[in-house]
Amino acid sequence: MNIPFRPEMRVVAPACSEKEVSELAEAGADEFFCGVYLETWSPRLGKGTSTNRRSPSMGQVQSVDELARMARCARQLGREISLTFNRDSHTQGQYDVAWEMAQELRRCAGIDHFIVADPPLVAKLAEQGFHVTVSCIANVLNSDAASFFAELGARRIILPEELVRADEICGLVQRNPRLQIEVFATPTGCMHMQGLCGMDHDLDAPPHPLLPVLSFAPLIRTIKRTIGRPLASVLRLRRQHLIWPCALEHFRALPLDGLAPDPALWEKLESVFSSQFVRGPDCTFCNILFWHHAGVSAVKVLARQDPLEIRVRRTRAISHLCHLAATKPETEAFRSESRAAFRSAFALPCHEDRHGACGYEWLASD
Amino acid sequence: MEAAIFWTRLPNDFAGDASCSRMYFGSLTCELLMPTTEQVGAARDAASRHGKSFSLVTPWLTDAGLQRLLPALSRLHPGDEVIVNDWGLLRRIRRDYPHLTPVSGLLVTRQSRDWRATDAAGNPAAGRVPPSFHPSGSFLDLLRQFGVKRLEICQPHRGFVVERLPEDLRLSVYLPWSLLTLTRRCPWRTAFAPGTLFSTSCPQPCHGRPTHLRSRHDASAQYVLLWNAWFTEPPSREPPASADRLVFVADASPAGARR
Repeated sequence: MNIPFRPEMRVVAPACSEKEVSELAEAGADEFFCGVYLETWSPRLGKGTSTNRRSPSMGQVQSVDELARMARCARQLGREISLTFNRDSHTQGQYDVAWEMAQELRRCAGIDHFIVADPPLVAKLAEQGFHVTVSCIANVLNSDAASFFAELGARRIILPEELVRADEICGLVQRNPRLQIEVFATPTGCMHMQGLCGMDHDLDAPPHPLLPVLSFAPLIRTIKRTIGRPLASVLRLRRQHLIWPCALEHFRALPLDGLAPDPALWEKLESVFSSQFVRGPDCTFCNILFWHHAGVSAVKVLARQDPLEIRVRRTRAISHLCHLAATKPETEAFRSESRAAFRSAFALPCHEDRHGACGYEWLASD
Repeated sequence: MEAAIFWTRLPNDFAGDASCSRMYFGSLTCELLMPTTEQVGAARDAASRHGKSFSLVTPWLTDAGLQRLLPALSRLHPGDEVIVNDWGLLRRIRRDYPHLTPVSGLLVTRQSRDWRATDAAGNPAAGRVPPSFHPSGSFLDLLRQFGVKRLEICQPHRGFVVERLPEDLRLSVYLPWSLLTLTRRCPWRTAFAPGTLFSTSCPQPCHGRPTHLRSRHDASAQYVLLWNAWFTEPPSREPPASADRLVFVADASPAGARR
């Protein structure tokens, strides 16, 4: 079989400080992304509002000086750092602030790579010579949407997690050969279409009654290993320590007024609310080989609020698999390696041993 | 004030509804709920017969969804509206279908939709500015470049501010619910059509079954699951003063859509 040469995919990791940049680089990160929340800009942006759909306390760099140190460190290591400015829409005031911030951060911190979702801001930054990546929040699901953003000046598109089928990803890559395509290597676990979701994660969610326990992720993993995942699921033990008002598993389904009640129907609907299929895959590591052959340029590691130790483990595993995909293309051998990599990254067996949902199966849907 | 009814399927006894002057037809939240080209043609003919203006509602689209949709655009008449909820389709319409009128749909327009941003009295959440629909001039300029002259939003929650648009742009408001979020991992398909989650065909088990979702932990979190989307119910049906068109979603009330 004549397999065309493809360069190794780049690994994009979340960093929040200079120290994290160097540790993640050592683990194999080729690029970094971060968010910033600067108190000095807050009054103009809107109190409690960030430029990146995260709350001010959630994995944000808090000073221009720290950002400058991170950028300097990344440059010394021959790597780039991108700043996330991915609000899906801006008022004119917020748009003006975002533009001024971008200029100031380029001048003071040497940042000129931005991840953006709002089309006019994509156009403005690209026109002024910034390197613009389109955020998954822009919800680019087809080739024409990718071309739309390419025509605005974007150089890279981050595909939304919802684009899971092999033919969808391949088609989009092949029809836009001049665009770099980036995908999520680790799923977020959210069932909603991120780019179309009206939930505001800047707003606080009520704490889970078991918050003190659930905040301690290693303990949850131990409990799950001990009592088994199905039972843990029944007890709703998840690492998630807040009850997001969008998490379906916390809901009861009832017929709307005026409709004939059919308890069996609504019970059946409710029974899927906590299922792995609705919640999403636990792992997409086996997809890395496919992404490589499809021509994907970069894979993203989540999430910037997670402890550094976890991000380092994930980055190391994904970097290893990206290298392997470029050098050892046999599918079964790769899948065996990717399962092992998942175990090392998450300290859990692969989904197949836990009856979870598998991103590799979703890839081949239909 | 113009009134429209949004149908995802045309009822057999469709009689035109004297209360509205425009028919919305199509799918807002799922590309697999899009009617076929023949169904679009039939709906367009029915609108003509009953003297209604016509708007084709389109959802987010993958490449496959876009390819399925394009033939239906050829069934539309010059000047018909296409409610666009995908940037790729907007680009296509400007390039290949300049005789059609694109409208910025809910998913392109974007507005604050999280009901938690205000309390029951309409006051903003602690430490927050009042949520508003106030698109930047740059965004509106971009839409104008693509021939858009109308934007659509959901009925806002209490305390949400809707700024008046510039004179050359119009505003539509959807009733009775406000779209909160949507999913491609459809719970209906998972429950009633297992194994078809991401396939390109769907038996549409969601149809005619709007469902209450009630949180076990938070009494304020109550939604309606309709199709593959979550809606909230704003307490008021009084539309913003700047709107000049109301769009009533027929599936929101299967028993009495025409009330």
